Parts: sequence; structure tokens; C-alpha cells
Amino acid sequence: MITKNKKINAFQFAILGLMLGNALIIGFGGTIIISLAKQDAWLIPLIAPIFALIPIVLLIYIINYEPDKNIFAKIQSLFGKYIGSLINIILTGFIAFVLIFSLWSAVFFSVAQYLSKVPYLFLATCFILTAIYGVTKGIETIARTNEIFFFINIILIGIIVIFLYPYIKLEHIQPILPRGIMPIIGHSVISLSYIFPPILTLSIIPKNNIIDQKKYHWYLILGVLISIVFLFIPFFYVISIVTINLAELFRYPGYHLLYKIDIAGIFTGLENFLSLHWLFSTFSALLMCSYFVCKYTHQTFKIKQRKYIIITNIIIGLLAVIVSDFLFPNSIAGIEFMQYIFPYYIFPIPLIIFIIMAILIFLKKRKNPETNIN
Amino acid sequence: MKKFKWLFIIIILLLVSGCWQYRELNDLAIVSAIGVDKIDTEYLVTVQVINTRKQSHTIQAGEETTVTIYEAKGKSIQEALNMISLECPKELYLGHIDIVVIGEETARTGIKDYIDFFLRDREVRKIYPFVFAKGAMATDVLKILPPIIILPGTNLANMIETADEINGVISNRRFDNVLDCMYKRGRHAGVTAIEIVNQSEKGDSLDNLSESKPKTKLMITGPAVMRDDKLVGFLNNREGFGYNIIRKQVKRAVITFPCDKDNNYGSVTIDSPKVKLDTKIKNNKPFTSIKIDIASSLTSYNCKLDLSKDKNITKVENMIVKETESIIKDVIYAAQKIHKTDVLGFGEKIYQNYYKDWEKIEKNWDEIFPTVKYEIKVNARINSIGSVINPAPKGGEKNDY
Amino acid sequence: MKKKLSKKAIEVINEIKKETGNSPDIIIKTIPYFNHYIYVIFNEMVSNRTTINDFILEYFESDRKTPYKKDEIIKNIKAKLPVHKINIIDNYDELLYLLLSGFTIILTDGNDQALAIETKEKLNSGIQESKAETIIKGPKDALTENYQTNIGLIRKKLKTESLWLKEVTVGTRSKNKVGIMYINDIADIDLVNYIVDKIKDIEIDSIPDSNYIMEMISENKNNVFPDYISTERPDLVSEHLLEGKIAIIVENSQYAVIIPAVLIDFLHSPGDYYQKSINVNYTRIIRFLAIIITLLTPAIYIAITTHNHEAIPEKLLISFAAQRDGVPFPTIVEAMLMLITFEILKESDLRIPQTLGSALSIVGALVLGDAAVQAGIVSPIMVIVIAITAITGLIVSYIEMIHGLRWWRILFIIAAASLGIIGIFLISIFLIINLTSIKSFGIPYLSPIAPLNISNLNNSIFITRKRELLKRNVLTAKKNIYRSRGED
Repeated sequence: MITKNKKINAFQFAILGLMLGNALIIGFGGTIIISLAKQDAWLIPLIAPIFALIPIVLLIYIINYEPDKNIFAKIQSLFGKYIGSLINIILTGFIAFVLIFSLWSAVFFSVAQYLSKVPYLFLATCFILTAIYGVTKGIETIARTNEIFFFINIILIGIIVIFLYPYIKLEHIQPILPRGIMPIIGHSVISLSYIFPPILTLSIIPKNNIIDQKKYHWYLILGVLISIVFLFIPFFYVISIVTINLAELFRYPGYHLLYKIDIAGIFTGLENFLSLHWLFSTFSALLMCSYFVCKYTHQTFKIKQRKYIIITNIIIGLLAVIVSDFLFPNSIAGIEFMQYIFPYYIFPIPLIIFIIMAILIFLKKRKNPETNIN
Repeated sequence: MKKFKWLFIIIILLLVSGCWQYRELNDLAIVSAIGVDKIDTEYLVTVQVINTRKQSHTIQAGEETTVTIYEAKGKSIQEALNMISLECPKELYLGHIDIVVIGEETARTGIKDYIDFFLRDREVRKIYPFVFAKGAMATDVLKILPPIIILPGTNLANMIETADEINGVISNRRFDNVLDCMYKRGRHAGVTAIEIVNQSEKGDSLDNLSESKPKTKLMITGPAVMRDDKLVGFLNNREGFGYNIIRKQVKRAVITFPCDKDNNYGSVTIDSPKVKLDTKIKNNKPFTSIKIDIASSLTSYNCKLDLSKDKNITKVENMIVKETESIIKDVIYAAQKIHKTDVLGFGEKIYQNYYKDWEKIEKNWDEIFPTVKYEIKVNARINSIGSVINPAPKGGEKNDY
Repeated sequence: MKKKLSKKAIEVINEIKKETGNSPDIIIKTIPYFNHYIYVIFNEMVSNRTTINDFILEYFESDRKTPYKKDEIIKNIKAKLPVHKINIIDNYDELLYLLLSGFTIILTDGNDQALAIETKEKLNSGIQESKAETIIKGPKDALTENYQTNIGLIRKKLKTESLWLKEVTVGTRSKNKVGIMYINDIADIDLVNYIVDKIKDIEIDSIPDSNYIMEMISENKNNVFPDYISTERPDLVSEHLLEGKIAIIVENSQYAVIIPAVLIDFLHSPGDYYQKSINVNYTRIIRFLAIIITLLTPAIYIAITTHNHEAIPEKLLISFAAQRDGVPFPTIVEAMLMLITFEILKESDLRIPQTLGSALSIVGALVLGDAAVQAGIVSPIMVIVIAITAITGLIVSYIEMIHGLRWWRILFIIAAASLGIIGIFLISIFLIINLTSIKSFGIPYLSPIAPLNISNLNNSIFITRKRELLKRNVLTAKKNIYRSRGED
């Protein structure tokens, strides 16, 4: 009866995709997109799904190949041993960077809005230790935890949608598309670079560990598309209620939006409770990215004993905390980095890796059509 | 190993419990209202702190007041608030501010200089009403103890909220609405104003409340007109009412219209009128059309027309239409000719609907605005005339049997 | 010792006396039977006098007709004695075990076998009302300490032939019988075999209660949440058996254990199915809310009044601040004081003998209530918060669950005091990870919510239309999902 925590089903896979897609945007990504696209930021979640199909299809294609291996083993089998290890390191480095950025944005948000006197390192340690605790329990636990996060998020977002509805003024959306549609398409593509990095961590789950193997790709596509459409709600509400000028002024326009919630005239201060839904999304990204990095370490250094696994996990967590404090000493440097450098120079790296992998797989399939590839 | 992790976390949490952000409620001085004045180059900040020891529901002379006032001067608002800590025994807590009052003189010099503190501080929430004190300094306003509701700051805020609900002259302009208008988008802000009636020295002591009619009290007046961030003038009550109608801020109001030349008036109560404001560009000139739909119920009627006949009701409706048109004309006149500031939002409509044209005229809008032509169309409908059909007879009128 | 009995009866008797230390409650009667002597040995305390007198001794008195040969005596007595259960035993182990269980042993010279006759005394209270799990409407009988009565009560509810029973004897000195009941064509046979094997492997000297067994076979020993239901109501046992679960009955224990159990099961009350389902849904909503309230109320109160002051409605803010004026302790110390005092009161309430009961509870209420407030030790609002917490905590029918939640309640309080609402957030993630990582005998603890299993949801949270009651829990009843319409 004691089964290892390994199998997740297709619905959980989709929910993972959903929560991960929201993770980076809800924190700083949203601010960046609003300052880029200004008035029309609410159109981006409606246009981005079209462009989002490409990376998803790539991801599914790669997961389908060699269903019993996770991404590290696949890379090694495709590229050979040495180049494969190099590419593994690059990929893990990218995901580690995403991890550090999520951690930093979550902790910074907490420190800025809730607990201004708590030292950054302490709070970051608390966050990462909770994430590591989840990682040591296995992927099944992470998937089930994500489901519960999803339900809690729906309740919180539902409260926000219902109680802020009377404040919407559609005229604040106007003028619509003042500069035409081309800039928006450009911004949609850029916004994809904030949606996809956490979703790429899903490649670490070998396909054999997914129950419902036949249908899971439909679930995943639906999950990611719905997550992008979910983003429509914050953007639309922010622009129509808070107006774009104020939204650009504030660091966290979504938080300012929540100030206006007024339930029955009594509970006017619920912004602290309701903004927790941001932190839940970011936590999903923390969990999956830490799992990715920890799995890489275990596979490369061939650690099998339970005691050493836990120690390595804790060390990785603490390293992430220290590096995050070092890389992003204040928020301006971080945001500038994410706004100007990340979408153009850093996000294409894993994209290129995946594209090359897809091409290689395609060529391999052509060579031996009888190999068992699902 | 797992148990070690549990212990580790628990110990850390135990050790730090009580440090950092932990502040007990009774260690806080809860600020109920803030007033800002600028004297020469320094800011005078007045703070009303709630006295949490005294919470009885009746006030008798000789007892403590429910609030304490502290004031301090400093080169910025933050510095002035710091100075207050030299007098006040507890830490100031700004999270529950009910109202912010700016003195008139200070507002005329522009609010951009000091508004930054209220934006940046993370404790201050941005949803409180923001008022100007007409003809007075903020310190004087905050020192007056008003009746009925014990806490002055809350009292002011409640006054504004209640008036916002039932009186069309006032609208609750929150801080973020005001901020919003400070960006060049074709509309300048109109801010609630209060004034002190019968200012005397007794206003700040409990003696003010010892009679049934307080000597000094606060009253809300028509909105103040701002251009960018400077206060330029005030609208009177009638103009303020028109302003609120155009800005769709009326929730309930009373329109009093004259029925004939003999100073007989009737009043109707209206709910939010449906207002459509449109600015088009005709022949390269902006042209505004305002359409108002009023649904009203007659509440007071002193005229001679017999209301049991339908055509008389139409006549009464026409009177309402005329009165409303005159109110709107007054406010547009005031905004265009007297204050020369587009506080009504004509330009905003161009910005929203005709973005390309707006970009051309944006810089000169303040000069173009006084020349904008407009047309008003009002449609009034009386839904109910109350419990009686015609007013009570004045005596000496015979009833035909 | 598995030593065989000797042919001489005297030696057997001497051996018995030696092993039991000449215990005075073992009675040895010698009865002449034709040409031989028959030795009737029984333990006076655990055997039923009436049965021995009326049936055994009376028989030997009356049967004087046919003489028997020596080696045929045992067989003939076995065939003719009018009692319902006779065993033939041939070693000391079994003999001593049965003797001390209340059986009567019959020895003859020249035979190395003995007869053991069931004459157990009923040493228990009769079937009473269930005291710990009361419901308003429904059957009220409860299981007792007698193993046979328990199994009988359960069989009375389910007279089907597919209700199978496997017995294991556990405990080197207590030698308790442990019965594992399951419905053969619904339950998971692999699980049953796994549990039986695990129980057989238990090495312990005594099992006073069914909880000991669960401590041994449970996989989640370090977790505060229970993964089994412990109940004294046979109707609940039969309900769960029909879902494909397994019931474990332990001799001398009044509580039957039902496994596997998930979190949702603890939020159901036994009486939920005995009223209209729509009305029961109302109670269920309140019960779910109560779990959250009992866990989070002190923590949210502390977080709101010490870290996140904006969340308090303004009118309350001033009144809270005024109430806290005279109190010397910080809020968290107040909260811990009140909680600990309440727990002490609850524990001591259990131990008070009936005669002192009312006076002490009055004192306790005074301590917690007015006097503490008047003396300025706690603020009135803290009393209300702790009272709400404590009372909503009692709404769950299974105390194991509430006792598990106590630890988390304290963790939440500490986290709220140090980090405010972020602390509550972190610890709640901790709790969620902890809950989702438990598997109760192969079934995830939070099913059917996470992993989402829509076909199971219909009965877990809300009871839907009665028609849905015809479907069993898919996870435990793997083979046979649809009910009634005959067993096919």
C-alpha cells in the first residue's frame, strides 16, 4: 500500500499549467506590462493566447518523446553526454534564475506592503523553507497542493470580481488602440516571456508518470490558455477602475485596486487578505522551480540517500535566498533588468534549446520510423 | 531530519515573536484627521489623535475631549510628523485616516509639493475624502468639535458621505479621484470644500457643545475648482449641483423650480439622472452636447396648476426642465468664463473618443475650453406626485359637491 | 509451550497447578464415570457457573447407561455432551489459554487429548446507548467490550453472506482476538490481506484498546491527523463497510476502527443520513465553517490587532484599543494563557468525580470569564475569541481530529504574532503540504478535493439528491460501485 509519490493525473497537470502561467505576471510582470502597453494592457491577455500556442505545442512534442525520461535524460540522449550536460546546466541556470526572481518578487511584495521592518533575509528563508518542505514530499504532493491553491484563488478572485464590479467605468478604457494594433501584438509577444518560464518546468515530469496519457495534452493546452485569459481580469479591472495614469504611478496597481473594496460598509480594509492570491500563484512557481533545480542536483550528483536529499534541498534553498539578496539589492535594478534585458536576451535561451530539441526529435523520427515514440 | 526542520522553524519563530512589526493596538495613536497648511516655506501639520480612554456616549462639560490635537512644523510633511513624536506619547498610526484637510491658501499654491507623502507611505490608504478648507486654515478646521458624532474626523467624513448620498451639492471626492484628474486628460478636479461658520475661539472646547445650537460649526460648501494642482476658485451651491449632475455624481437630490412669477416653488426629489456627455469636433471646433434624463417624484408643491390633469403635469415637467437647464448653464458659464478651467470633463470626452484630434489640441485646451459651444437637452419625467394630488386648500375655497 | 499432554491426568493437573502458581480460582472436580475418573477443570472467575452445573455436571450425572472403553470416552463425550462448542486440544499452550478464557477442560486418564468446552461468563455491561457519539435521531445502540456482542451487532445490520471475518490473535500476554471485517465483493482484497499480514506481525504484550493496533500498522505515525475512524456505533460501521472499507474489532475494546479514512470522513457525523438531506447540508456548511473558525480565529485576531491594523473596521478599532488599555500582557501571551487555561479546564472536567462536579465547573467558568477580565489580566474580547474557538472546536464528532488541530492552532498563533498575515499564509501552506502528503492506506488524504474526483464529490461535501446515495465511494469500493438493485 505504500506507493511512491510519483503519479499525477491530467487534471492536476492542467492546473499546474494554469497556476504557473500566472505566477510571474501577477507580481512584477503586471507592472511591467502595464507600463509597456499602457492603455491597452487589457487587450494583451486576449491576443497572447494565439502566440502562446507555439511554445505549448513545442513543450508537448518534447514531453511526448521518450516517455519514461525527464528532460535531463532526454537532453543527454539527444545531444550526447558532454554537450548534453552543458545544456542541462544552462537550462537549470535559467530555471534557477526564475526561481530567484519569483522568490525575490514575492518577498519584496510582502516586505513592501505588509511587514516593512522584517529583514529581507529572514522572510526569504521562511518562504523558501516552506517551499523546500513541499519539494521533499514529491511531485504528487506538489500537484495536489496546487489544486488546493487553485480553489483558494478562485474564491479570492471571485470576491474581488463581485465586489469591485460596481466601480467599473468603461469610459476609462477609452481611447481604444490609439496607436493601432501593431504595438499590441509586439507587447503580447513580449508578455509571453513572462508567462512561459515557469511552465517550462513542467518538462521535468516524464510522460509515464501522468495518468490519462491520451488526453493530457488537451488538458495542458486548455490550462495554459485559461491562465492567460485569467489575466484579463486583473488588467481590465486595474485599467477601468484605477485608470491608467494612477496605475502607472503606483508600484503595485493591483494592490491599489483592492483598496476600493468595501463590503457592506464595514470591511473596508480587506486588501491584505485578498492580495494573498498573488502570493499563492507565486508560491506555485517557487515549488515547481525548486523541484526542478533539486531534481537536477540529485540526478547529476547521484544522491540517493534520503538524508542527503533533504540536506541538498535545504542548501539549494538557502543559496537561492542569498543569491536573490545579492542580485536584486533594490527594486529598481530588478525591474529594469526584467523589463529591458530579460524578454530579449534571456528568455530566448530555453526557447532556442527547445526548438533545437524539437528539430532533432523530428529528424530522429524520420530516420527510424519504427521506434516506439508515442 | 524532518523533526529537526520542524523544531528549527518553530524555534526561529518563537525567538522572534514580539520583534519587528509587532505593535499592540494600545501602543498606537490612531490618527483620525490630518490637516496641512503651508506657512512661508514650512508645513504646519495638524493631527487629530483619538483618545482611546474616553469612549462614553455622552459628553458633559468638564470632561476630556475624545480627540487630542497635535501640531508641528517641518520642511516636509514627514518631518513635521516626526516632530509630533516629541509631544505625543504613542506612535502615530496613519492607517485609519478619515479625512485630509488642506487650507485654502496652501491649496492655491499648488498641492503637488506635498501630496507625495500621502502617496508613498505604505500605511496611508488612499481612499479617504480630501477636502479644502474655504477661507480658513486647516488647523482651525480640525480644532472644532462638532456635535452628534463624537469624533471630529469621523464626523466630517460622515458629513461628507451623508451629504453625498442625499444632497446633490456635495460629492465625495476621494483622494485617488483627485489624483486622477491631475494628469492632463482633459479634466481638472473639483474638490469638496468645507467652511467654518461663525468662527470663534470657543469652537475648540467643549463649551461649544453646551448649548443646543453650537456656536461654531463646519459646513460643506460647493466644490473647489482646481487647475492642474492649484486651487483657483470655488463654485457656489447651485453651480456645484450642476457640476455634480454633469459628472454623474448625484445619487439623490432636490430640484426646486419656480412655477410662476409669484415666488411659488415646487420641489422634486430626483435619483441619479442619466447623463450623456458628448464632445464632437465640428468644423474643427469642439461642440458639446449634454443630454439629461431625470426621473423625479414631486415632494413639495405650492403652485396653482391642478395636478389631476395630465397636461398640467407636462407643464410642471417643463418647469423642471427649464430649471435644470438654467442650472447647467450657470455651471458652464462659471467654468468657462469665471474660472476658465475645464472641470466638467468636456475635453475628457475628446480624449476618449477622438484621440487623434485630442493630440492636436491638448496643449491649448485651457484656452480653447472657454470658447466651446454647447447644447443642453433635458428630459424630465414625474413618476409620482406623492400622497395628495393638489395642495391643501388655503381656506375659503369651496368644494363643489 | 507446545508440549503435548501426558496420558496421566495427574501429571497434567500438576503441570497446570505449577504454571498458574496454585491459583485458588482454578477448581478441579473429580467425577467418577463408570470405571474411570473424569477430571473437570475450570476457572471459577471467568466461567459461567450455571452452564457448568446445568449442562456438564448434570450430564455426567445422568449418563450412566453405557460403559465406555478408555480411549473412546473422549470421542463419545464430545459427541453427546449438550453444549454448543467443544474442542479437542492436545498441548499445554492451548489448554492454558482456553482454561483462562473461561473454557472448562475435561481430562481422562490414559488419553493424551482433552476436551475444552465453552462456558464463558458474560463479564460486561449490556448494550447501552452510545455516550460519546450522540445524535438526535437514529439508532442509539453502541458496541460493548465483548467481542462477540460487537460482531453480532454488526452482523445484525448486514445479514449478507459476503460480510467476511478474519481473526488474528495478537498480544503475547493478553492474547486478544482481533477481527477484520469486510464485504468480500466490494472491498479491496489486496488491502485486506496487507492489513492482516501487518497485524500478524505485531509484537506486543498486550492490547488494551484498538488504538494500539492502529499505532502499529499506520503509515503516518508522526502526523497529528488520524487516518482511521474510531467509533462505537455499529450503524456507522455498517455504513462504511458498504463503502468498501475495512472494520477492525478488538476484543475488550469498545471502539471499532475503520480504515481507510480521509479528511472528509471526519467532517461527517453519524447522524447525517438519518434526516432530510437538504437540512443536513445546512449543518454540514456550518461544520465546515467551524473547522476553519476553530483553527484560525485566534491567529486572525492576533494578526489583525498587532500587524495588520487596516483590516479592522474603524468602529471596532477604537473599542479594541480602549479594551486593551489596562492589560499588561501582550496579545499573544493573553491568547496562550487563555488557551492553556481552557485546555486545563477541559481535562480536569473529565477527571472530576460526579459529586464535586458542579462546584468546580462554576469556579472554572469564573476563572475564565468575568474575574479575569475584572482583574485586568485579559481583555474581554480575548475571552470571546477563545470561547468561540473552543466551542466551535467541539462540533466535530471525532475527538482525534480536534486534538490534531490543537497543535496547528498554536502554530498559527505563533506565526501570526511574529509575521502577521504573512505568517498565517506560510503556516497554512505548511498545513496544506502536510495534509496533501498523507496517504491513508493508499488513498490520498484530501480526496476527493485534491486529486479532484468529481464522481466522488457528490457525497463528500454536500449530500445531494437521494438518488446519488446509490453510488459508493469510488476510491475504496473499486469493484462494486453501484448499490442495491441486488447483489450481482
